[in-house]
Amino acid sequence: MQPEYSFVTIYNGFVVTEKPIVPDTSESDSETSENDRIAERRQLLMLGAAGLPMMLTLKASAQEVLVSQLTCAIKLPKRLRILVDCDGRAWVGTKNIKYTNGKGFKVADIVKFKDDATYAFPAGDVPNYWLPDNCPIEECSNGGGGDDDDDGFDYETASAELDDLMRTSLPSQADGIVLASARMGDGDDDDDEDDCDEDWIDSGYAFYELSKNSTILPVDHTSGTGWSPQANTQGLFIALSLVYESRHGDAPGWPGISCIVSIISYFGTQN
Amino acid sequence: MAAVPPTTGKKWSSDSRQYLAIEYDDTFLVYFRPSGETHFLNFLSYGMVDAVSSMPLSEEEILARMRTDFSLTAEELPEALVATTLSELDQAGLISALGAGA
Repeated sequence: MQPEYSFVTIYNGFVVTEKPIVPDTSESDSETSENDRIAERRQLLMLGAAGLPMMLTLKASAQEVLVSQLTCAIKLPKRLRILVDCDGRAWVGTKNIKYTNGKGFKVADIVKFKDDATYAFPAGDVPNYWLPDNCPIEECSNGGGGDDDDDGFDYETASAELDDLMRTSLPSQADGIVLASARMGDGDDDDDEDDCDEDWIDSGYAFYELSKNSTILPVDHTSGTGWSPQANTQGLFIALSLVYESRHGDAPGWPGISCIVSIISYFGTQN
Repeated sequence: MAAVPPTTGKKWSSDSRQYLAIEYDDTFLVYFRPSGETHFLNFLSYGMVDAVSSMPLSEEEILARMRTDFSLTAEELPEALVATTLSELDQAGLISALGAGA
């Protein structure tokens, strides 16, 4: 039995057909159901021929929610400076280090910067691109013995201190990123009398600076499915952020770490 | 089975691994992984996607296939409606053209 009528309503642009109530007959239910379906389909096609779309798309999709994870930005509340040595160590702080053409960095500034650094990253944490151009650190050729390392920094002692700190229970000192109290430059207490100019050093360090209120868009340092830090100071910041995240997760302490974690989570959903 | 016209145009195809489809009373909810979008397809549009997922088909072949599968006449399923629906599916990424003569 063919239905005498059927309702076709449009809800939010989508066609909803309502089956008419068909009284019981001697025809089989399956045959009636199939006839109903064919009738509905023909009616739908008539609407389609009149311009009704045959498909609709939900724009408020999961993809938009996921992509929003990529849109976060990091705004630095204060100036941030990063000192990098030839072994890929990094110190992050706010103090300035004076550089004078023909002389280089003031050693006292470097020592002070290391002492006051908010974060210190151990050797190997800084990717090669951001390492200093002049490596290794120049040695004094006419020195009279003692520690030829004229950067005022005893790496072995500092490393030992770092290890000690890493063994402490302070949550912010796990796995190599330590707070300023590491005093990385204090290990070298030699009073050697080499002939080097102990006040200035022109090799062995690179110094980077991000100004106050700098806005960093981490998504600019990605390549669709992974991280690809740009070859600039912001890229170094991102690289160090990733190191921090790998050791501390989203633990507070590093500027914009929640934004970094958000993007890492996004990548996790894509793989 | 209706005769299939000779294929002269581009062929359409679909990768069924790229979407998830669930049917609700002749309506199909299709989640398309690459775009993350969800589409509502009726029997015709889903039938077209499904048809080209097994093997590439030209527009003419799709038209003939739909008329056969759904027992529709040329008047009930005009060519223009299939062409329009193909365009919509293409824009959504659910199907893609393999190129002329493919």
